Amino acid sequence: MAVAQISSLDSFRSGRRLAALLRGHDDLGAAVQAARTALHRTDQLDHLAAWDEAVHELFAANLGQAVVLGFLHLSEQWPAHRSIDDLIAIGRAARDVGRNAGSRAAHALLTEMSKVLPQLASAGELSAVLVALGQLADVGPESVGLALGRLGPLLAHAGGEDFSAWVSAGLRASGGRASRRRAYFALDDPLSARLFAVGRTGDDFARLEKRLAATMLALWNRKPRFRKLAIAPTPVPRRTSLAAGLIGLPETFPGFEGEAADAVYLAAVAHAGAHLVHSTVRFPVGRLKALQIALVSLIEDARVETLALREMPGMRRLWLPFHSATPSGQATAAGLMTRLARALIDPDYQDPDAWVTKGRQLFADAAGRWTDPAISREIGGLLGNDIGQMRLQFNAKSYVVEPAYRDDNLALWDFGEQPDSPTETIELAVDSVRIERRDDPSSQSTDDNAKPHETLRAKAGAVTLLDGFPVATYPEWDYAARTERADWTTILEADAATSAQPFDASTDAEAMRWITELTRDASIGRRVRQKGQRDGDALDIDAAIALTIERRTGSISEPRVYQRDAPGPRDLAILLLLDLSQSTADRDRRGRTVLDVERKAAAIMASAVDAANDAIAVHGFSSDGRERVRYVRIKDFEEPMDAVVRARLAGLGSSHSTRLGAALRHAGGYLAGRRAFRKVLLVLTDGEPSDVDVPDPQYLVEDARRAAQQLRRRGTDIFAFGIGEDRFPQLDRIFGERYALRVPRIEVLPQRVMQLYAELKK
Amino acid sequence: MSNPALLLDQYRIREEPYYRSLKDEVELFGAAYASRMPVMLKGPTGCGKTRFIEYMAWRLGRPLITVACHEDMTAADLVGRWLLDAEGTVWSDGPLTTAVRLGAICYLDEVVEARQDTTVVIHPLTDDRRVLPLEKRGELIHAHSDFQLVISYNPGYQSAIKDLKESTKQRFAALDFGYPDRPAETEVVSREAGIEPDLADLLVKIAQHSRNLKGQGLDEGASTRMLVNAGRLIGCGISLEKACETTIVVPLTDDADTRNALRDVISACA
Ligand SMILES: Nc1ncnc2c1ncn2[C@@H]1O[C@H](COP(=O)(O)OP(=O)(O)OP(=O)(O)O)[C@@H](O)[C@H]1O
Ligand SMILES: [Mg+2]
Repeated sequence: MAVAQISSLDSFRSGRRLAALLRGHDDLGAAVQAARTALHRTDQLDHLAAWDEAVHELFAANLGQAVVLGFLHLSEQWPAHRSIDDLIAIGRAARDVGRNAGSRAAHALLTEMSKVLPQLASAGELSAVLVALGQLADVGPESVGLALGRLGPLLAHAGGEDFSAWVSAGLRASGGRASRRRAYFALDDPLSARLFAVGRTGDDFARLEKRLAATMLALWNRKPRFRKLAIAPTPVPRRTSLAAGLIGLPETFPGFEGEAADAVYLAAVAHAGAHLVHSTVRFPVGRLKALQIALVSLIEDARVETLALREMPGMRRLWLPFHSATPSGQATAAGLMTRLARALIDPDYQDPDAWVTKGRQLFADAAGRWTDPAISREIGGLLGNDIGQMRLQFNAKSYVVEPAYRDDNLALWDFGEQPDSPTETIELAVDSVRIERRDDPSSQSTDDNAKPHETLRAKAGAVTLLDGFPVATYPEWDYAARTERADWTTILEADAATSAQPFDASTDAEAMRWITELTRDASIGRRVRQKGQRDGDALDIDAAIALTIERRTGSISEPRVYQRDAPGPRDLAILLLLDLSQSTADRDRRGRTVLDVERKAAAIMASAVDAANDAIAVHGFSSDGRERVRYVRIKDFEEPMDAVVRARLAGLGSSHSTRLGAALRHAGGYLAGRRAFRKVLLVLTDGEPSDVDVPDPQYLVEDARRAAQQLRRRGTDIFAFGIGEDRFPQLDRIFGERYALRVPRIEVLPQRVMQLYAELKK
Repeated sequence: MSNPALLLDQYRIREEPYYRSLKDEVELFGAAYASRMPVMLKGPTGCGKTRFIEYMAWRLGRPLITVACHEDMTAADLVGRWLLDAEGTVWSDGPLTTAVRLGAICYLDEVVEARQDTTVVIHPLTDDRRVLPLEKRGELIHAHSDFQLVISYNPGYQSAIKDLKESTKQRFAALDFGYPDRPAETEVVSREAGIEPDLADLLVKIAQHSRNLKGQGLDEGASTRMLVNAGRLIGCGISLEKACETTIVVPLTDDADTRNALRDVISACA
């Protein structure tokens, strides 16, 4: 009771003070009165003094009357059930944001908050949003307005924490550059768009991707590479596409929502798998007409599904619900085709039509040869002739494969080398192809996934090189002259470019597996059992028995009979230094590049090291002469291994040469600043040092050797992995035989790296 | 139980265990035993290694002492330790020591799980010396002429990080166990669970698909053991979906997407 009295007295006094302050600002004074009266009704009298204070501060911040009025207005509308603390927090945030980003931003914040308040039900969510906005105003004041404009839309499908994650990722991903920040917060950046889409239901593909990948692999033992197809505003609906070893899935199947969406994606993936396994040859287009192509494809669909059903009969439940054709309706070519499609996989379907019946019969008669794709050509050809004779219209331009779960079937066809060939039949065939292709140009611009890898990477590479800033110079060792050339090399640090294209879908799963394995291993991330302790949490049986024996034999010894679990091995700071020179783009016999495996190794290792609570940074380098040793920080020690780091890994490109010594010195500097029991520099490289301005191959070897020795002397352990089939004779020279490890089969690099980590932890 | 014959008796396998041989492993093991060669059984969990060694012990007429190794296991747990009783201290043999003295087959299940010092005690036992030093007791036991050491080892999830030492590995002859092929596994499941072959075949098919996810969301696919369990539940009147959910989907993973993929497989196969 006493407390309430005092606080209401407080509030009375502070109200008086506020009123005095606002004298002369009559409209403000009236608004304060109105707000105060409203807040009085919320029965949180003890908060009123703090509220007065907040108004006071906002007023004193000189952001203009509109901002103060905005806050008073919000206060007047404040929901009675909600703590005034939240209101005060908003006022303070408006003041802070206003200081850094101007009164417009502050005003926008108040307006937006009044709209989204109901979505930020908990104080935690509200403060996540406010803190994020505060940080943004601090670092990127120009983008506050943009971000505020996205707040409402984001909260429609995600929470305050997600907003905060989106903002902080943007701040990190744009590396201090206002133009990049603006692009990010305008959602004009793939990473931004992806993080923004968290929890959004509109993107069914994103929601289902992981599950579909697992289902595909389990059902068909094929590891799929998915690609999201943007929905283009064309009248012809998108279908799955199986071109070039990728499974392109539309981001949504319009008309299918919730469980129906799950079902159509599943059916689509099951159908795609049936093709991948059973459609073993591509049919030459030859002189076939569009109708014939469509029909051969239809029979082929039925053939692969039938084969799949022999092994997995349950798939019929997946596919049948989409076959809704009925015997009634107009006898168009397209209509008959959907009926035939149903007739071929639905044994209970009845259709009196002669053509459908004939198709069914031909297909059934071929039962002994179902494994032979040639029957699709034969049957499709025959049925096509019949349609021709029935003089039914077939419009290739508006034709779309039905039902929706089936793919466009373009991958079944070999269109030959010259699509521009003048003959009419080919043109027709290509026409039928354009049905799906014509929306491609638009999808290219909106859908980064559709862009070929190489150009994306080349672009990222070029941009970062331009963006580098000189941050340090280092000496270089001239072994021939036996002198150190001072300030000989210049490090240009560049922001790591990001790419939203995941570089390897399996990495997460694999990393998780490694982490589990690591933690399963008693020596890592786990606690160690120390026996024979003076105290502890359990009795050490062996020690207890030994002690009792000693006592009985009359000798007196220390009672060390406990065991306890102590923290595991000491902590590490690891800097993983990636070689990003041009040669890392070379492919091995199976098409993998060194850069790919470097990325993967980095992703796996960073996740595992993070999980084990050690510090890890991932940096990369390449060089273009001594003045341009490019250095990118993909992940700093303090950064979590998250979507931003992944996007940066994905955005790495290969270019130029390998001035190893300079990079070692620079990396060594980062490690020197760490406090850790053991500091480790881990270099992944695919070749020996070289650079455009150095003719003598031994020169950079000797310099790198000297750099490595100096670091070692200062207490940093250095290991190097030579990736690829080269023999790397100089790697031993640079790093010392015991520290130069070779990985001829590049795909095992992640394992090797993790193995080393495990060793280091011992 | 100081009477060795009585002690050994409890480890004897009296009835022939059902074992469906897969290749020539019975013959190979027999030959290895003839020269008391240490044997390592490699293979994923639940594929029949334990059943096999039980069968071989029965066939060779030797008692079988099985030790399931775990990460807190120390050498003392294998070899033995001093204990106290009313009169003073008494030495108590560990299971390995018992097998060595009395001539049993000792089966160390998942030996890599044990601490490093345990693998060291088996070294002198697995070379020409065939001795077991009991340091704490100051005794050196020469192994009984019938003694044989068998270990199991699952290369799948040990991988590089946790591996047997080279010097340990090279002491053993190894038999590689995989999951049986489809007809054989069907036979095992049908017989062990007491269900119709058709149903067993369906379960095996589901398991084979689940094994595609090894390393991609699952450490291992569904094992023969899981199928036997599923079959038994179905035998008790549980529906296929429920039984698979309970014995396969839920135990294998906690990841929602991987679980759904397994469910997709089950419904596609059935
Ligand atoms: N070849 C087989 N013959 C008979 N039964 C088998 C066979 N393979 C597997 N089983 C069945 O599978 C079950 C599990 O096998 P077992 O216990 O031998 O696995 P394991 O390989 O030893 O597994 P773990 O590594 O987890 O110990 C057995 O109880 C048995 O029912
Ligand atoms: Mg198809």
